[in-house]
Amino acid sequence: MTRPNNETTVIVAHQFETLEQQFDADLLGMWLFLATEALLFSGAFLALAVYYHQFYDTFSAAARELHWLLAGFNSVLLLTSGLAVALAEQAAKTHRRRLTLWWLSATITLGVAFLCLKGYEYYMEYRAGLMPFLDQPFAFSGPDPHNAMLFYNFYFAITGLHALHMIIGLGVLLVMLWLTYRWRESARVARQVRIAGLYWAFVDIIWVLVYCSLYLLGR
Amino acid sequence: MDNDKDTRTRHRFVGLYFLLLGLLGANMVGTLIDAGGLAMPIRLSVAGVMVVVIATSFMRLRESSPLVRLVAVMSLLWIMFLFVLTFADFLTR
Repeated sequence: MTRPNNETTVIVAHQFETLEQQFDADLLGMWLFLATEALLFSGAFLALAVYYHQFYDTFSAAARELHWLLAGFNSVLLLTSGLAVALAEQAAKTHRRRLTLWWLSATITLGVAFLCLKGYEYYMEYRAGLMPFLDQPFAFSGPDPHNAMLFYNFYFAITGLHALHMIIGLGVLLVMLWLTYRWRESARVARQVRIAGLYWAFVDIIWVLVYCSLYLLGR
Repeated sequence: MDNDKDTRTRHRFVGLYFLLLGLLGANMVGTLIDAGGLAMPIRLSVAGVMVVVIATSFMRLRESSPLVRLVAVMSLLWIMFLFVLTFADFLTR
């Protein structure tokens, strides 16, 4: 590796000829990783689709018990955080440190707000007896509670997996915040923020599909 | 010139954000209307459009290299295989 001697010199790993080539490889790696993540969620969505087809009435009745307006508001929060991270990427690309810091902080705040609301939603479901694990009594009042329990298992598994990805994404964004704060090399920071932004946008995409398939399809 | 391009990009992001909010709102309001058998395909299509908007703009797929775009298309293709082959088996039993 070549060492930087000022702001305009950037580190290019020895296996690459130019920074652009290295950036292309970074982007390709991230997209390949996201492709495997997409397949992971696809398996869960496929299983949900199969059971939705088999027990449509029960699954629809179970979906109507979910707090779709609260989750809709949460969708707005997450879409706004998606905009904020895109603007952070743009600010980093145009070498504006303070603006990048501001948009990254906004993204993290919105992400934390999303998780807090999601936690509150889980709490309400716990209080309503719709959490079919942790030795909780299952209090679904609609038809066919046995298969409704299956729906709630899907609901908690898929939203839980999404929340886990959000927590990882928030960790990555906190690291980006720190790297932006240090601002060692602006080109490098822009590249790192761009790649972290891809992950956050992917989390956004998954939530759009989660909201549609779990909250809206049965209504 | 670079400043103009930057401003245009930021305005485009904000415009697309409002488009996403509009699509989300349409999907939510749609649940209050009885569309019968069309409800499910409409809601899935609206969500699909939202996914395409996020992937092409916020993830900058439109301005990515052909190789990156190929990876994105291939991952979609594998997901389609997953769904089509599973349902081809499941629905014809």
